[in-house]
Amino acid sequence: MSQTTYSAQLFATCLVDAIRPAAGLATLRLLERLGVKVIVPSGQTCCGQPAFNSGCLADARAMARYTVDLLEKSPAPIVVPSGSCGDMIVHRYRELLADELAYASKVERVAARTYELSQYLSDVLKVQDVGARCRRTITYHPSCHLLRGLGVRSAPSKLLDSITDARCVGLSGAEDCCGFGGTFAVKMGELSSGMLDRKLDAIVESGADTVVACDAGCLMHIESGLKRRGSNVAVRHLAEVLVESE
Amino acid sequence: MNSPSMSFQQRVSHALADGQLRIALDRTTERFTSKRVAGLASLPDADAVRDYARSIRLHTLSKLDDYLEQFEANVTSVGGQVHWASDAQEANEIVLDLARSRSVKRVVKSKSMVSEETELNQALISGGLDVVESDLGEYIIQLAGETPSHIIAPAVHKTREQVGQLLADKLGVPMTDDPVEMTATARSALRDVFLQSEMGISGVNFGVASTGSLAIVTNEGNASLTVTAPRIHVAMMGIERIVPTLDDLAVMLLVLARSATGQKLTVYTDLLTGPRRGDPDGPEELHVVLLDNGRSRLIGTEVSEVLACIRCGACLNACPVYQQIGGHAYGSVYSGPIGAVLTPSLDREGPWHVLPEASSLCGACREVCPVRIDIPRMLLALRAETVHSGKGNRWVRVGFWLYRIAATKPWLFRCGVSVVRQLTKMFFVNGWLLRLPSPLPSWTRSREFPVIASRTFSEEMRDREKGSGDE
Amino acid sequence: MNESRGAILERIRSGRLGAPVQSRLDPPTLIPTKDSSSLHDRFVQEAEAVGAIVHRSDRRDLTVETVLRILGDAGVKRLISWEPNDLPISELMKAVVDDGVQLVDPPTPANAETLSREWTAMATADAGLTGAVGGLADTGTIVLRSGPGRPRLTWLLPPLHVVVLHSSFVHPTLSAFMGECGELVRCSSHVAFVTGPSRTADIEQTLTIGVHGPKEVHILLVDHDCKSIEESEAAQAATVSDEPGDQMSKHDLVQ
Repeated sequence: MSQTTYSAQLFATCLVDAIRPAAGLATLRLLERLGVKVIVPSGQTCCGQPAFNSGCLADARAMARYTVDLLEKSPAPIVVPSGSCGDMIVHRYRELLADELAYASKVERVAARTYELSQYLSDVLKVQDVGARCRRTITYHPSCHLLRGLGVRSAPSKLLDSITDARCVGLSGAEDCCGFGGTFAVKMGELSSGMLDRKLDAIVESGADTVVACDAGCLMHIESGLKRRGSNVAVRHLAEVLVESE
Repeated sequence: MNSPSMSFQQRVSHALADGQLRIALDRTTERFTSKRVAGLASLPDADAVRDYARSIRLHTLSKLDDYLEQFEANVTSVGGQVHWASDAQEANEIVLDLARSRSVKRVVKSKSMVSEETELNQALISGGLDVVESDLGEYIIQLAGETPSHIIAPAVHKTREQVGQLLADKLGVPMTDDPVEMTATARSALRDVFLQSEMGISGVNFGVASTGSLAIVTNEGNASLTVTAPRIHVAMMGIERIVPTLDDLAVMLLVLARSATGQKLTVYTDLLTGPRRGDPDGPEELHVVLLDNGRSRLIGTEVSEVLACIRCGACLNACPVYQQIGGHAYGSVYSGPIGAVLTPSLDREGPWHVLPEASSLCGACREVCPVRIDIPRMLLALRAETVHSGKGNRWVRVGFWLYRIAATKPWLFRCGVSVVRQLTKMFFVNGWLLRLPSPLPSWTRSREFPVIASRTFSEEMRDREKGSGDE
Repeated sequence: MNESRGAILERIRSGRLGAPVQSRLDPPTLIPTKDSSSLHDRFVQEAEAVGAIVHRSDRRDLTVETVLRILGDAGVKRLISWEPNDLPISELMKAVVDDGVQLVDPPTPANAETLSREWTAMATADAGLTGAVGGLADTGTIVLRSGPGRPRLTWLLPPLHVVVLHSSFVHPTLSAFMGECGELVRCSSHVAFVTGPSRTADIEQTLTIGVHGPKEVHILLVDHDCKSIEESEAAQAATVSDEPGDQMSKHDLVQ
């Protein structure tokens, strides 16, 4: 590992905060273990993506401004344990706030130094083996915004492959959407659960005992379906498996 | 466009319950998807080709008026005639007038999405004409009295048994489920139609501005016969289907075939430049009907990019929503991801604002589009437009307004989270707060619903940093 | 209708207002990666991959023999053919006739009375014989150009299509062909790019060959002396007659 001192801000995201805090805590622990000085800006709430996806632009802008101001308080890079929120901040914020004089340059700065967790580990810290160890058979589900929005293809798999004693297996139709899509899961329940069914079938078929993803939304969706099926497959955020050590 | 009688949600439920449709869709989309990948992969630099194809389309749209005028001048100079139609009704009237003035009784058609859009067949039939679709898939659904369910494979929703029965019922041939026999039946039935029709109506894949040429592609050869045998050829074309030069056409044909069916080129690519010139066969008259029907209004708007579409169908094959419900559920001629943008954009007044909602924004469509159309971006723009115009769900708007207020005042957010936590614990079986509108219980029909964590991440952080301020 | 024309153009213009014209990127390399096989070998490979049957010949008599064999094997009794001047080797037609194959008269649309009889005769022909104005190696495509003496129905109606293509007419790609032969396209009312026999998969995605166009396509790829396009054109121009409704003058037909 590098000798440089890294510091980073952790933007947990609303879903991690309220539904899956373990992912946030794991991210914090992981980064600290890797020697990163982590700042957790207090008063963080939501990046505004749900409002944006529902067409409520005024509300999305208000949340974007709030979040940008929050994250500008420190010059440190921002780490987000979520592909979709990462994509929102990196790409959509610019579009939302480009016309606002007061925010145009702030939003550029924030976008330029925001990373999804696996991106941060591979592109900034340049690590693959974070010293994790667990006896799991892991299959990885790439979330759509992480894959197609942020273009993160191989970083998570490389990190997972480096876990001692863990075995990684492929997932058929890995790049297919799990069906969450935020409000889509609620507005279009039947379509959403149809997509989830395919994803769950693939997970079961893979033979894995653990499914890993980088997005709390996907995890929540997948877990909710696995529970309904009475499945034993564990559902973990990337950060959660990377801090495991037996 | 005609509005369907069932609501979108009803059509979705209907489609999801149709087991045969699912099998047919799985088979088609799987087949097309893997072939598309193989097709594009055979290009030395597929990404560069797609970028280039995109630049040709966007360049053309940015000068569309000039190119249309050039196209018209060239078509005219080689002996063709160009007719401009502002809307569907006008397009149909133009064709009907042509048919009447030329004493046309029988019309043979090859595939034309534009003619489906304007419902031309109904207009011609009402006008007393005989109209026969010659593309095998279209012929099948015409016999069945249905509409196409996929841009490239119109009868994809029918099993072979269904087709066999249909041919037996309508043509009086023995029932068979052998596609080879069925195809032979259709071939001979349609042969007479080609040779006895006075007018052939086709679509146009691309119109070449620099030469006034029309490019029409098929695998069956039915368009070739449609535009050759009858003495009058009418070509229906959307105003956006222009390419500047023959060199551009070559690139577009390359990506079209590979993205649609994975072939390097379709079996028949016909390039028509005017009516016959001393040829022993071919039409005496060539008429191009340019259809606007809402397209011109899109230039310069957030959804203008939808006009770059080359109708390859790749986005349909990649879409996890289309894959479940097929084309009919969209309720209009253009289905799949592109349809979810195009239909509400062309028909602003119609009941289409729910179509852009039927997407998880996974981006698979944008990933496969040969001209890299950013469909998710436009779906979001349409959603924002719906909210802005007041047509959206009121509760959703109120909900997000309240959420925003909480999200920009951390103490309020904390309170809100506590309250919701209490409530979900109380009403967990029912799944949500009782006040909110009905769609929410659909989650719990097939999935468990998570509770709010007993200690949120922020609460944990506050616990840890008690005493030290970190503003 | 002129009103619509003006209105449509006006709507486009007002939508464009202020926006700069989007420029195009530079065209990428469209020639497929160089492999060791020659242009002609690639053509044969691709044509066979799409279901055409390719025969090679380096002698005029072998070409004639091969055509006769193809027609004989298929039991062809009635043939639609392009005019001798439009076939790469004009003696081909005589050889076919001498072999007992009956030639179906080409359509003469001017004569409305005989038209329906002619259509029927053409529709029941067993095979069509044409030359070709080009070939595309990377897709195994043949390029056919209609014109006086070259009816389109020759390659569309019969179930069997035999086409004689000179190897010097083979281009690497469609783009290459358009680059060199754009003028040809502009001057012809119908240029057909045909890649294999006709096919459909509209019934349950099951591939079926031979829908409306031919079921079988035989390509004779020949290396011996043939008439060039210019020669064919010149010969044609000398014999063409003006048809009623023909908009173009004789001179326009010559390259």
